[in-house]
Amino acid sequence: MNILSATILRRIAASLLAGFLLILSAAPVAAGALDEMALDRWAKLRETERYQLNIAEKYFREQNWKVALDEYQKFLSLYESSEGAPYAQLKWSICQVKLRKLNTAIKDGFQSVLDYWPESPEAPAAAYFIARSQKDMGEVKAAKAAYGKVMAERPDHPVAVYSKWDLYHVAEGEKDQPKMLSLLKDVVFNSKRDPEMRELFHNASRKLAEHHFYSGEFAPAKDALAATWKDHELVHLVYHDVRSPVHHLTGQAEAPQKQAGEKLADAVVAWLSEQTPNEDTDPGKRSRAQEYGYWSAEIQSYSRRPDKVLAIYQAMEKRFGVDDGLLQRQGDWLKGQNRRDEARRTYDRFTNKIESQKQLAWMDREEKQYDAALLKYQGLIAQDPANTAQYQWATAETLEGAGKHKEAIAAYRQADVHYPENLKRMAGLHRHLKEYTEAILLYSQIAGARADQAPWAMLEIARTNEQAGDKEKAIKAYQQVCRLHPKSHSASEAHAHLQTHYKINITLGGATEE
Amino acid sequence: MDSSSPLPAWTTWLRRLAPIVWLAWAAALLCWIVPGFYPPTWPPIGGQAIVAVGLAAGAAWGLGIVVAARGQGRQTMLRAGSWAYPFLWAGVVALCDLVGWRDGRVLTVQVGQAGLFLLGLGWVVWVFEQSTQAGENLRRTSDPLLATTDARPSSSPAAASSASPSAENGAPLRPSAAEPKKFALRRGGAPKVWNPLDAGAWYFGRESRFNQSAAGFVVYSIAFLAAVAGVGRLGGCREMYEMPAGGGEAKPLAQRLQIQKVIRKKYVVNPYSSIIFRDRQIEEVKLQLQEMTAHQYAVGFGKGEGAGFAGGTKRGKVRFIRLEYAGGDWNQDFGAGADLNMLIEYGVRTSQKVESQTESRTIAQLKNFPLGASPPVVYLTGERNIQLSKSETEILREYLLQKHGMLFGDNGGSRHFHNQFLSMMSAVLPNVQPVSVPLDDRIHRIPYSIPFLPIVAPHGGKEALGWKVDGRWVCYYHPGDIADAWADGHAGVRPEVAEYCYQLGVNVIFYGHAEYAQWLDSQRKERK
Repeated sequence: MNILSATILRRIAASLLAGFLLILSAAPVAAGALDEMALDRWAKLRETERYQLNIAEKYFREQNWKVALDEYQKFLSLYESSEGAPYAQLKWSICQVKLRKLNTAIKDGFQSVLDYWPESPEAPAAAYFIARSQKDMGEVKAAKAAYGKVMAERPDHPVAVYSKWDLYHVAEGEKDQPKMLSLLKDVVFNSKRDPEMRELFHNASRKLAEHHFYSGEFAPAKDALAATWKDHELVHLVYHDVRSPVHHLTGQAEAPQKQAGEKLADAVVAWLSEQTPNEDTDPGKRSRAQEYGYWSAEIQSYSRRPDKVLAIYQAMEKRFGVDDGLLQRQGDWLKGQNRRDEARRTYDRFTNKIESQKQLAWMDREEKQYDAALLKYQGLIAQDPANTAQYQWATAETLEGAGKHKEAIAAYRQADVHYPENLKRMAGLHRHLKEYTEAILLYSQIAGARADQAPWAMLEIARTNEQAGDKEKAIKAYQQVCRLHPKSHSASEAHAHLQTHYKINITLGGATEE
Repeated sequence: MDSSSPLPAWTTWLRRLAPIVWLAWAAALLCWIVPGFYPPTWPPIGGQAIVAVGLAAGAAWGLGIVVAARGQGRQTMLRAGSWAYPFLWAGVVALCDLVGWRDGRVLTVQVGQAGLFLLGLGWVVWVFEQSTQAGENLRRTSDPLLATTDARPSSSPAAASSASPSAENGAPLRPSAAEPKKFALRRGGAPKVWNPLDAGAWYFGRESRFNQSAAGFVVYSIAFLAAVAGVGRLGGCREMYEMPAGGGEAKPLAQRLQIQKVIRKKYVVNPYSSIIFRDRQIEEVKLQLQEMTAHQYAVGFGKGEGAGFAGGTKRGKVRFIRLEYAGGDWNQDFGAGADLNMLIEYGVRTSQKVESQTESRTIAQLKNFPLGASPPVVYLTGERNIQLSKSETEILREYLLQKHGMLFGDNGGSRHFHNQFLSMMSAVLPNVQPVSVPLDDRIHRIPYSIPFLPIVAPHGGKEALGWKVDGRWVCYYHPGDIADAWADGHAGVRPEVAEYCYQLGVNVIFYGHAEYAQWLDSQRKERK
């Protein structure tokens, strides 16, 4: 929605970046570097070999594991003594892993690489994959032994670092804190850094920093992050990762923990202050200084100390003067503190009056003053015609909130920038108005237009029929969801509903998951 | 004693045989309910004989003394009935077991316990009354004041008949020389009675009889419940899981193709002929390929005749035990027309002996199964909450780890149940993480090679999860309502999905039993 200011967009972008980093840290690190063949070895392949291997690689990249498996198998049958044979064998085994045939992958794949090509560049990777597959099968003891062997035999190879990282996850599962910590320190501070393993080191650094932050230790946490990031990236990571631990610690009932949280927040703010540029004449450095000031205020806000937040904002006002960015932050914070009148006055001070009206309209909606909000949106349409569609959407949402369902439907119909979300909203409103046929038509439209949303739309059709009192149609529609989309979550809901609500066991679902 | 006729001569034998019968009966009872009392290495027929003979003898003896007491007066009849009660009760329970009437057995046990409680309570009251009256008589004779003012004989015939032997013999009712020393003096020098059997005890107060009865009831009830619980812990409520004896191999079933000739009718018409030909058959051979499973070997574990398990017994059977838990619908698709289908299919497909009915047990009842005779697999399903107490969590952990059990979980209908199950397992096995069970794992290959994971509805995703401890799956969790495919109608799923669901059920049950048999075997070897 374009009604958001540049400040809000910046914050959203920062949040998305943070979210992305979080996802990266949560996801297991793919051993990407281990399943690729060096270019010089590709050059050694004959034309026919390269052709066949490329076909297999194409399917592998497309994640068509079954076909890729057959193609690698074909390569192995035709060119057993090729330079690419151990590589093909390794990739064949990885295809088996992807097809969840881990025993086959170990016995007939990775082990074959070790047995037939022990000196090949793929051998360390095969040894590592054996350990990893064992871990993924729940064979923890065997996996630990295999990882140990890999680390002992190839201490300088990337597989040693991957092994440590995997062992960290094993220790995490076993809730072995000392082991986890020692492995993380080993990875972050004592491992040879390979650019291909950037993701792993990022995750390890952040995990270690997180551990120290939750213990209220700033310096070791910063060191852990500093081992991977420098300068502004480091400052951003410190700011981003310290917030939750500060909030957690200051929310504890025990005084020592609470004090540790406050001390941590103060330490980070002091450090941020050290990192803040002092040259306000340089626009870039001035902007950065402002940014660090906002971050400091946010950290103090997470530490539950409003006076410190206010002090930071006042200091910023003195140093940088008042601008919309600062007012936006102050307004948001005041709103969070439930000082809504002050927040309104702050938004009203915006230089950009359109942005000011958007914020005030949003506050009206939050306070259920829908008429006031509608008036503001009408004004915005007149003042900012370039963003009419967005204001129409906001108008429709406001009308829906106000319970003016018919008007809301008309407004959603016009706001087609959010297709098919607008159809979903319209269908929901038709159901409120007991106009079930219209709702079903809209759901059918969604099901026909968007294959990915078809199971959901069909489930809603069934629910609408049920709401309309047409049991037979509802049952048929529920069964259709089970039959046509047996692997979807909607099928699960339909199946359970048929059983519990209608006591019908014949749900017509069923699938085989490969 | 009431007026009575002379006892028949055979009753003398009853009296003489009593110690032998009691011993035989006690031995039978111990063999019957205490696991391991009869050594498992001995031939099972010996244990069965001891139980049968001992319980039959006990029941016959009990019946005999009741018959003998007929016509001997009410009190004699009551005494004989009380003696006979436990013998006859045990006999009836054993009879229910023999004919396989499970509901009757449960009913008999429960009603029998209630009867035993009432019988005991009756005797407690009788003892109280006897002691109280004896005490009163004693005090009457020892207190000169009471002796003179209340010297008349007791008006109660019961009191008269239940007086102490000395009173019956006409001897004066007075305490022995030692008796006064036992009592402290109460008001004005009267002896202070401490005996709780005597309602005249000083702590019973004014409403002495009522207070004594109330106190007696409470104490007796607590004692009875404690005894029942104690017997339960010692083995009275213990039960055994016995696998079917036999042997076999744990390897994938061989498949073969049967080729069948199909003759299809074909009509030929000559449009130019003036003669109408009758329909003529031209033989056409069509190959109808029907896949059939060939039982080329016995499905089981170890060496032994027939399909079964080396650690099993002749009376042993594969049972399907479902776990009861609080908070949800543990009994979804329970019994006939549902998981019983699976049990029957298991029997048909493996040729192993299976129980005629499926069963359910609470998690707490898993404790009743002793080490080495607990169920190899228990099944748990539902679609709502799973609430486990701390003790239940510990019992389940003990069952899975110490007793070498296995939990077969099945998501019966919601994502919520999936989360509940994972949370339960995280409490039961906090240091074991669930992993996706590989499709080429033994549990997916033996006896049936299952190329896909069959699901009815993906309530908890599309991957089977497993918890592995020391190389063994202690829990297999199916995310997609497998039991619905076992039920009558197979939830309307495609036939191949239903078939895979049965095959997977067979595999999981077999895996649990085979692992258990292997463990028993290794335990036996270690002991040697």
